[in-house]
Amino acid sequence: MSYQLYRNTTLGHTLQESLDEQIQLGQISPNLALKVLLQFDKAINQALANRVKVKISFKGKLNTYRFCDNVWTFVLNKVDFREAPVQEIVKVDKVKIVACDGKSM
Amino acid sequence: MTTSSQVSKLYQTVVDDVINNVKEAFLDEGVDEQVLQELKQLWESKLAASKALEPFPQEAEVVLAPSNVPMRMPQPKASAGAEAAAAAPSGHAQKIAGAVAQPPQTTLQYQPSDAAQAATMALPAGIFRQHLATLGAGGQVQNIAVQQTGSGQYITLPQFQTQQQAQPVPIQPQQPQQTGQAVRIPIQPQQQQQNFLQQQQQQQAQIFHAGQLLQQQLPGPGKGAQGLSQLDGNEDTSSSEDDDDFDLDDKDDEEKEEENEEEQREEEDPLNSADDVSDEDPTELFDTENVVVCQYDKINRNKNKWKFYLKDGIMNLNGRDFVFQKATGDAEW
Repeated sequence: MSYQLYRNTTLGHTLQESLDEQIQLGQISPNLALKVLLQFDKAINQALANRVKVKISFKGKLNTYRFCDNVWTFVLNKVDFREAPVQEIVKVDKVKIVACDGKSM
Repeated sequence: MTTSSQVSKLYQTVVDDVINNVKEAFLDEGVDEQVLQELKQLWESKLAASKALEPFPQEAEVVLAPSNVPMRMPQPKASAGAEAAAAAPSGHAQKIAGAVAQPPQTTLQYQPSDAAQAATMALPAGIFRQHLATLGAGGQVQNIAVQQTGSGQYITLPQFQTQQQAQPVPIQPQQPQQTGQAVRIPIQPQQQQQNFLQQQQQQQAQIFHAGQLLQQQLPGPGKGAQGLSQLDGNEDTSSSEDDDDFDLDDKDDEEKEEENEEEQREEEDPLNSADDVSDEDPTELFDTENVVVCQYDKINRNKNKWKFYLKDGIMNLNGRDFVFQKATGDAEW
């Protein structure tokens, strides 16, 4: 079982749009599309856990926090994201962070 | 640096991984492998079209439509900032205008602007003239001239009047015409019919009307004019309340107009606050272009200081994708 929350990313969205198109065209069944998505969940969880070594730090103002069903949701304002130790990546005025429990998996 | 090329490589491995591992599922369902290859192409082309993997201007070693790069960077920032800072007030204005402007759609077109302005600031003279013109059609020009000299804010009263004037005749029988106070109550249901958005506010306003009615009764008996106006109201369907107001002398007019203005505020303020709480917050607050999807190791809070320990994240910031293995964050609430 892998988290499905990564479907809500660029990679996940584009896959779902592609699958939708193929379902519309009758090329694949919704059931097959679901299998593809489940495979995507597995693949992206593995890839992030094993292939990514980047460490990041960020600072900002916490606007809102929410903890529901073991999922944290934060809205931060005026956030600086930096790659550790100092290299600046990007600043944003507002960002939403959705985080599932990293220990339960 | 989490360069876009690294993210691209990571994404490509995921794409290949998924495509390779669903081959069997495709075969099991009897779907041609060509469809699977099409899926891959669709996915990859959509990824490219998302521009989430394009490099930043300074790291343009990979030449990918450089003209697009400077365009995209400022846009999300500006819009995100504008949303956070300015969206709420402008939303208010629109909602006020939209809500109050609905009745005018059935009556008179210029009223939306009136309503919007009345909610925020004093009204320009031109709008007065418009009201004068429309009310003049009802044969009440003189009375309104008095209002105009009284204070610019009394425009709210004419608005009420114009709405009522435009309302259909058959409603009149519902109105008990014996006193000026009674006239107001039936008006509320009429407006509710016209404007669903204001229903709640109208109901609240009725309570205030009830309070005002008591106030009105005190000066009321002193003026014989009230009785006359009520008689007029019986015949003249829509403008009974207007007559009531206009038949009183200037001071009473002013008082009543102030009351009417208060009515309007009471109607509009709850509208705003209700919208803020119920509608805008959940949607706008959590609606942002910049999203981080990840897992948490620890979330610590000490008073208003929060610390985040996150892992395995994918971020879309200002239209670009980034990934991280670990992320630590500090924020004050």
